[in-house]
Amino acid sequence: MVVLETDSIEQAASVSIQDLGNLFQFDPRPIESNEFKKDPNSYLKQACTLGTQLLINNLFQLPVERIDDVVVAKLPKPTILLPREKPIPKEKPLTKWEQYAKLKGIKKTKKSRKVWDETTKTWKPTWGYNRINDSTKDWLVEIKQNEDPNQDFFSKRTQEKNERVAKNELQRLRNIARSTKKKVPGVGNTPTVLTSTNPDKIQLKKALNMAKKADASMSKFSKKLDNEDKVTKGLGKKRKFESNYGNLKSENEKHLKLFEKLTTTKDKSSKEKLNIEKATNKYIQTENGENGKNDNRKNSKHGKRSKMGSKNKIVIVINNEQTEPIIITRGVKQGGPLSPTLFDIYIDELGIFPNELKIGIQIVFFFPIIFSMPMTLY
Amino acid sequence: MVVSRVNKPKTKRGKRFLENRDPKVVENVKKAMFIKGGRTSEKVTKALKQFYMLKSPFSLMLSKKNILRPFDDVNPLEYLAQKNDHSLFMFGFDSKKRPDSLIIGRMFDNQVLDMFEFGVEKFVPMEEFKNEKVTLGTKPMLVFNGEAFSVDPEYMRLKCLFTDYFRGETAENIRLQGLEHVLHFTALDGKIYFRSYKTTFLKSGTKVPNVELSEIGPAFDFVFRRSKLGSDDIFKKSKKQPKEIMANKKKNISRDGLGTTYGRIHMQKQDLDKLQTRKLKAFKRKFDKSEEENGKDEIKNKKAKKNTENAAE
Repeated sequence: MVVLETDSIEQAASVSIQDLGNLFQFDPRPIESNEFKKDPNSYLKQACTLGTQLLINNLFQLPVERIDDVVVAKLPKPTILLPREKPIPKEKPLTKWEQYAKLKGIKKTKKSRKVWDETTKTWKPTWGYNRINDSTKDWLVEIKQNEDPNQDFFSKRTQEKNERVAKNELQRLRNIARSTKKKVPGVGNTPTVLTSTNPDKIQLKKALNMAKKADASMSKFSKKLDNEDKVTKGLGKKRKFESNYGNLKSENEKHLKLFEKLTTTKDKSSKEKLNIEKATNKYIQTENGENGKNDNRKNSKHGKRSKMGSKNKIVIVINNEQTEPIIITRGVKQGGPLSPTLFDIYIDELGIFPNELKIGIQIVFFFPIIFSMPMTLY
Repeated sequence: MVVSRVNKPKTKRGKRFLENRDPKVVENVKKAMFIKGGRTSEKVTKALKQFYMLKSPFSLMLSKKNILRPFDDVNPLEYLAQKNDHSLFMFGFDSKKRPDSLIIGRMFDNQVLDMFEFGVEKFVPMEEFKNEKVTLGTKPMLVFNGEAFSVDPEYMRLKCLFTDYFRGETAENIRLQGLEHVLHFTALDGKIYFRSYKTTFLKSGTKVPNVELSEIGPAFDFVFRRSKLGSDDIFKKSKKQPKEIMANKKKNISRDGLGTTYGRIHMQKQDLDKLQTRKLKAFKRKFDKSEEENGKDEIKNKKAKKNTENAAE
């Protein structure tokens, strides 16, 4: 049996950290390794007894309750924040109807699940299996005045029901698609439109356009009607191209928009626009990769690029005097959408001092084989 | 808050099953799965079984071989966790380079949050302690010792992991006589000593009893080998608590030691010009001479204007 001294208990109690909610006790004092080595097991037992005693001391001070003849202590809330298993549940996105109802202030009225059925003298569910007023079970169907009597009204009834179910399912899927920000599928033509006796002109147009495209070739090899272009005009997708003579203002805006997109993170809660830590890490990684492991097969791509870059040379002409060719080590990506803007920003600084000195500078790029490109700055 | 699925569950039971796996405000108890690697020594297999018993009923034994290398590729492990809906894991394997290894770790959102690899140096199973064991599923007390647990960030995380792993069910009430199991973790010189004891309460003459411990096993001596901590970003995210759980903080209300309640009120700047002071006859407007005269002048002017207009007509 381990006997604890009151001194040691008090000493340990003053330094130890406890979380009664988790029944957790931690003594951060260093372990005396000499004592430990003499007899590890008894040392551990002694330490554990001390810790448990401390925990028990505090647990037995907690307010006590009696539930079903059992004395129960009320545990405080855990103070140690442990990570969750799964992320915080998100609120369920509203369906289109719910959105509309919210906007209009339509509130759900609670409907009772079961209603009294006078004919059978039983309680029946308001909807679902064995429901009250089940129109699909009626043995008699009323034919309205303007309807064609020579058709199967029973099969028509079930078909209509099936269509309603299918429509509901489609709407459910569209709701999911909208909430997950995926492309919402179009409804197309519902069978009711096509089977109706007098569909309007636009509906027919749409149907024709759809039927044309509904073959394996996407209407490329399908037979053309005589005045088809006239009929289906304005229904297909139109591709838009920008004019070759670009609008400077719109181009500028486009670049700025792109830049904005790059510098803002998706996470709206974080104030930092750029994840600097990640960026620097990435930079360091690539640098390491280029320095040490150039012959490594993994990094062969990096090696190649740097070699190619080293072949690009520039010559600066100041007052008709050429400098020695300078090897370019840095640059902007060929064909990148941001490249012109970045280049402008960089070269803008360079353009300042020749202005002050009243000299002209011409920069000539010597690309290895392809061409050289002179550029003059004033 | 049910996740909207494209494929609807066909039965109510299936629906309930899926709902149980959805993220919740108050979460289920974390469950642990115990995985045997491609090659395991007898020691490791036994050790896995011991932990499986310790953790039951919130544990699952995957006794088939699973050839995984969690430190190289976590994907298969994450798949298993997702499939079984278990967020804690222990993986045992044996190799020449790393004999008798156990990897212990946990997941957040089916991604590995952190994992640690230990070598089992010494191991005494439960069966070798010939005494009474504790009841299944008791909430154990967790006792930690050693400086490293408060200094070394890896060990601090390990402490957090052990608490998470072994704390069992979260309870509001606890039967004091039912506190019978203690798990003891000690960190010393790169080793971790795991012990498990059963408590007996001895009368002390006061309300609080004296504690006596008897070892019931299993006992492990671990060597700390490797660790892989998830990024701080994910860890921070995993610690975020839902609003529903957090206590509603009442703003601007404070109490002092004597129990007096103070409220802090924020007021807009007061307009002193419009301040109502004491009403005195002398301050009344009609005694303000200059204004009166001005008023008279205006009336005169108006009259004059009218006269001119009339004349013009």
